[in-house]
Amino acid sequence: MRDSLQKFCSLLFIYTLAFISIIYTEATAQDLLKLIPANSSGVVSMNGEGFFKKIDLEQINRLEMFQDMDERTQGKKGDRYQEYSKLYKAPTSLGLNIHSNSYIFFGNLVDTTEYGMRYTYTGLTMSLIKSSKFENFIKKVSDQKPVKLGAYKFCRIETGAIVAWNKKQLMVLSISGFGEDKEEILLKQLKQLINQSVNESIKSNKNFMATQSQSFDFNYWMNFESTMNGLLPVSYMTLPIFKDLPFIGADFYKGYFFDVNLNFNNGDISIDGKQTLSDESSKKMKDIYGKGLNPEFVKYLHKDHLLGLYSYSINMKGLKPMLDTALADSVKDQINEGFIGLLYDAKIKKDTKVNKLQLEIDSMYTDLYPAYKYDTTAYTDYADYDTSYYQDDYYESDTTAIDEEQITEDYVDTSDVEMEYYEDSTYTDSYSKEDSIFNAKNDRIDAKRKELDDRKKVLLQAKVKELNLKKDFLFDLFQGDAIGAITDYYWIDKKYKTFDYDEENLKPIEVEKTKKEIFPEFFAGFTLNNTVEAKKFLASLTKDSFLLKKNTYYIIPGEQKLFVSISNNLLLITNNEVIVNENFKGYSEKERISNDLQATLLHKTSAFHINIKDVFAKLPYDNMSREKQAMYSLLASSFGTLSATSDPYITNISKSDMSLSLTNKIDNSFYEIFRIINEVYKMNRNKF
Amino acid sequence: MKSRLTFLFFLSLLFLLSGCFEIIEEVNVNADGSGTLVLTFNGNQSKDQLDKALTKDSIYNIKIPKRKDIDAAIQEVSNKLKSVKGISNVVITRDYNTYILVIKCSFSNTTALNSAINNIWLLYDKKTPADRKYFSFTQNSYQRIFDHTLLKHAKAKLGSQERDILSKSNYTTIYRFQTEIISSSNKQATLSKSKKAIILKNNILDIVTGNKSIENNIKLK
Repeated sequence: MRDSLQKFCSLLFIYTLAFISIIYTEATAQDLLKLIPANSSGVVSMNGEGFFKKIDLEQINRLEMFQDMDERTQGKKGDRYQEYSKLYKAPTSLGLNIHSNSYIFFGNLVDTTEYGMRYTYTGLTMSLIKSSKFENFIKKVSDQKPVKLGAYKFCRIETGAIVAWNKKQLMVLSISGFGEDKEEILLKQLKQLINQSVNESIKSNKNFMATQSQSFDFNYWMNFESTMNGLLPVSYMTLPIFKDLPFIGADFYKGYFFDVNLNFNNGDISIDGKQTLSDESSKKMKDIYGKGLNPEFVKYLHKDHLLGLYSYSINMKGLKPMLDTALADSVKDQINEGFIGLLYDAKIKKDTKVNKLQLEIDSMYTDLYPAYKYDTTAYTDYADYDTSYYQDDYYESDTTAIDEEQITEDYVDTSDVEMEYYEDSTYTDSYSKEDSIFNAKNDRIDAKRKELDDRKKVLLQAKVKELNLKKDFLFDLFQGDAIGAITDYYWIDKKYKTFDYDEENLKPIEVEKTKKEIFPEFFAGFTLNNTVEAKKFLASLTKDSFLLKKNTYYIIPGEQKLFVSISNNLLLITNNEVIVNENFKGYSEKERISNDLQATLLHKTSAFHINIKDVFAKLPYDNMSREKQAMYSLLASSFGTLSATSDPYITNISKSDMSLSLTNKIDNSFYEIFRIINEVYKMNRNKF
Repeated sequence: MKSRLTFLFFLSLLFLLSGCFEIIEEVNVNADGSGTLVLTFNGNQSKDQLDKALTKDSIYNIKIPKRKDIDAAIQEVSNKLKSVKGISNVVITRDYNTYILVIKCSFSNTTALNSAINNIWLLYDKKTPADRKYFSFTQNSYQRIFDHTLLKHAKAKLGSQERDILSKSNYTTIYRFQTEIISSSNKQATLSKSKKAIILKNNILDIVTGNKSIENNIKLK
């Protein structure tokens, strides 16, 4: 955990450093952008001027986790520590422009050799206040001397990473991937970037340039076409199988951009995103995206009992023809068919009792039902059957007739094992001579025991029928909007066996104790398209007691009961007995979730909402360790809610947003997040 | 591989499923140094998780063995114990309803007991020294030896989930003698009313991290 935390913090510092610049003039930022290639797959823009008005670097450096990190840096860097530590303590003293925009960009490179190796590389551009100070820093921390490259100087800082600078700006490039020539490729790329024209740079991309006028602390912009080209060679993308798939084909990604603005405000962190599709692709998405959730669902969401929810709205009628025409059959089957169960007929050669537990057949993840108990023709309207055969071996009994204690080294001839050790080099791979001989002798003994093992194997054969819901039935059943919500926790007392000890001789006495086991209380709902068929399907499941009918609803039997009901055109599933006892009428208007949240659910294509405070505050603290109690209390008192939504496609742009609210409204959320992490760090520091 | 599963199967499952468990090491020592060992693994508190896990092929890409594989592995441990000179009456019982596994055996002296444990460790780790001592007995003294380096690999691999499970799981040692106990070096151990038995209970995380030890030098009357 410490390493991960350290890496995380280091990464944040790199980002922070990248921030540390001030825009002296608009031209400075424009110069930096000219260094970024037009075919970048992604660019992170950092608004140093705005960001550093909000945060205090010294305040962050005073947190214990950074002080510990500083101490470790001191141990690692030795004589060079003083210089290195300036990176996060006093970056301006290194000549870095701490109030300027700076940029991190990502790209792909293909070498020109016969192998055509693919590399990904990352670049950082930042402006300098005084290049001589920066050059001095590089000279002190690098073993290499700077080399001139036109108006620039460059220097290798570590394997696969170089830094180049001129009087106004610096650029760091690092490359990942295999190949001995990658540094050569990186240098070639450096030369190309510092000499590229405006048209070859990101400044020629209108979608990217539009992001620069937005308000943000950080902006991440992504070019899907470049990204996909990096993931798969272009030649692959033109293959018919990819070309025909609506979401994978190269055409879909042409003109497809995504950008998010990240802002650290006092009391919350907000992320606003925007997807831009080509006109052609957006037409396809408009057919699939729904307009929002069925308003009837909000009846089942209580304002005081909501830990989290997820809702979505897609158009099944728009989705089906697209899947039918565009997807390959195998993919289509995976998506369309719902797996509902396995029935088996067991045939045994030997007259041995076979039960469900013995029928452990590889690759079966679901419950098995003995076929003779069920009417397999009951579901032909809704399901297809696939029949397959499996077989496996079992021992009739646990013990062998031989007395294995007697089969020892004395019984088995192992006199030639030592000779075998010298002849067979495989024994010498990882063990000492003694161990190898010991193992070889044991192998000989085990082989003899197997030879004398008289247990009979039983061949178990089973005919298995897989029931799969028919795709046409599924697509006809639902409209496409649904909601799932965790409304609360409930716990039950669970009995378990453990041991107490008598006082006289400490003899263990088996006793039964109880513990609390926690479960989520949930509600799920789906809008039905074909209510008549859905009712018939549920009724058919009662025939074999997969569902039990009670009043106007059904019970899914099991240790924890689930209740299913069809109310008007809604399919409702819950384990909340309050909803069930009210006969699925739902809560009164006064009891329901806030109007704001209702509006969000009804007008967004998808919505996600977690009440982080309640998620941790409502847990049963009685049986928890003190450490856990402290951790959960911290989280409950620090966070409010996390919500995310996405809009429908009305034009070729779809917007999405995410917001994390914090209890502390006074400090900036960037510092507050570090403060919370620091508290967690302090709780766990002694464990390392 | 099967042998390794014998020891680690339940533990690894519990790690995967956030369960907890207890292990009880009981040794009854006769005056001549012979005695009986009863080792109990109790996973009953995590029964639901284990029940579910056993119906699956794998969890988080870790293969879940079938019951017949576990039974075969238990058989291998039984065979290994029986093959040690000085070990007799080996009985291993397992109950898949309660998830309580009990290994019982008689030993003629602590040398045989040490040899038996070493043989079992060798199934798990073939590089472990075969002459490691766990117990030592003289006329008036009984020693439980604990070499913490045995657990250094386990300690290195502990993640936060494993730590959480181990902090809720216990390792209990109980030693019973024919004569009264005068003193014990481990101050956390508690004497029975008869003064002929002593118990030490620790959570396993403390043992693995080295904060607590099961080592004990017991002086007898």
